[in-house]
Amino acid sequence: MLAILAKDLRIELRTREGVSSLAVLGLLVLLVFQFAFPERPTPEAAAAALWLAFVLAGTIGAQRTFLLERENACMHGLVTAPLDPAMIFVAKMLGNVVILTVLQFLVVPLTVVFFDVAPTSRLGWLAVVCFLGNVGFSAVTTLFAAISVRIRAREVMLPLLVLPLVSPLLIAAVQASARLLGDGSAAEVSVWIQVLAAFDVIFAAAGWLLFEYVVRE
Amino acid sequence: MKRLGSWAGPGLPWIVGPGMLGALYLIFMVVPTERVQGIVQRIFYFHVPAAWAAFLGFVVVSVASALFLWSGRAAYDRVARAAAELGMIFCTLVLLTGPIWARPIWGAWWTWDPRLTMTVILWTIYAAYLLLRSFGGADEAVARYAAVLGIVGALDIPLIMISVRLWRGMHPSVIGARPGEGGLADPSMRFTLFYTGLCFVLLFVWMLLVRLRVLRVEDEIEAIHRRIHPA
Amino acid sequence: MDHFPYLFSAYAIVWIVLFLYLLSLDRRGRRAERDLEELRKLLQAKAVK
Repeated sequence: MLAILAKDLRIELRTREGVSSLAVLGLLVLLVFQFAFPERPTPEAAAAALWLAFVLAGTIGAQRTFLLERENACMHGLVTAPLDPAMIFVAKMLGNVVILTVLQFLVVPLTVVFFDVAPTSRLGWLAVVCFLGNVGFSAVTTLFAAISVRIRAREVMLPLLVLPLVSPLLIAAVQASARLLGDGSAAEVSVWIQVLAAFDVIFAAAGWLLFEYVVRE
Repeated sequence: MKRLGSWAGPGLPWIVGPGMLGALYLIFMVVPTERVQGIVQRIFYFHVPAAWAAFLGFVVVSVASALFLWSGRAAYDRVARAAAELGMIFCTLVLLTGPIWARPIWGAWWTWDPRLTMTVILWTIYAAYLLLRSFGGADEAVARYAAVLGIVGALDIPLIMISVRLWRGMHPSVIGARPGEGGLADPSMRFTLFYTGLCFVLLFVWMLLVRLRVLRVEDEIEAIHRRIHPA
Repeated sequence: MDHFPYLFSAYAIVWIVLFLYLLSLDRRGRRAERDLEELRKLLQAKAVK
């Protein structure tokens, strides 16, 4: 399992294809958002832009999860290896989490600068929200990237499958971030963090259990 | 399922057909007009039962999906597929009848009320499910993918419910508590609602059986085809 | 507001049309199933020969 994760990360480190294109894409979304909000931006707008950039770049990035395996017919080797499919899921999901974390390290500071918000006192909580949002999103996209890579029209199918399912995650993450970037109370944020944590647990478990049925040949 | 079909099949249309006529008679001729909302409130007797049928569709999809993954029998897959198609129809009916009522009562076609938000998210999940099936073709693997989506979609429902409630619950509500539902003062109103609901559920079952038969025949033709021309 | 009978009749007609359509679909589905069953028996008889 660790070997798969290490392999994927090594490819990424060598080529930097994924992260660099995602970073530029995230930057572009933030820019477009700026053009759409001509007046003085609010923390709500900043949170919305942050998570939109994350979701758009993340969905496109997740397409790549299994693409390399597909192109080189390695998936067959992976599946037939004496390895629990659930482990492949975990490795692939962690790979996505790492790449998206890098993306967040770029997008979050840019949001802070572009939208002129200052989360000074609550940086830790913002990191928690970002991490939980990242894990839940990666769990869902990894599971469905494995599906979409095997059917026609996969570029359209992945967002179509993923976006409705992550809507509760998106609502929770945007609401929590808006309060952290603005001036919400800790109690308000903790409710949303609970929703995010529940989402993460449910979908990581679902991916763990159901991945076997997706990759079975 | 086949046994249920042959048992309920011939009789069911003759319960649903006249039953629905009775429902229409109740809705338009018997039930008193709601005092505050006027005649447009009668759309509730279509709107709410359609929502029940849509929700029932979702339950059937997820249960059949789980059974399919567990047993691998194609019959469960057909049930899930037929239920998703019907659920989509009823969900669309809910989303169409809602705004017709909301416009004169709320003053807006659409608001981001928790229930509306949830219904529209469920609709998009149904849409994704059906698109997955139509893009994927008749491949056996696609049935498994769809089943995974059916199960994951069901897991998502409680989270969607919680998050849309919290989301709107923290905002000042523009309209106030949704009127009508709790306020079915007249017992004949409540009776009409439940009676129509029963009719809609039976209609759902009937349509499900009809659709299932077509899917089964398609599968068997495919099997015979493969036997004659083993490609 | 005395036009409810009209409203009722309009809806009733729509429903009856829809009902008859569904009924015909049901019948045709049944016939297709029967035909298929016969076809399968024929095929089996042929295979035995």
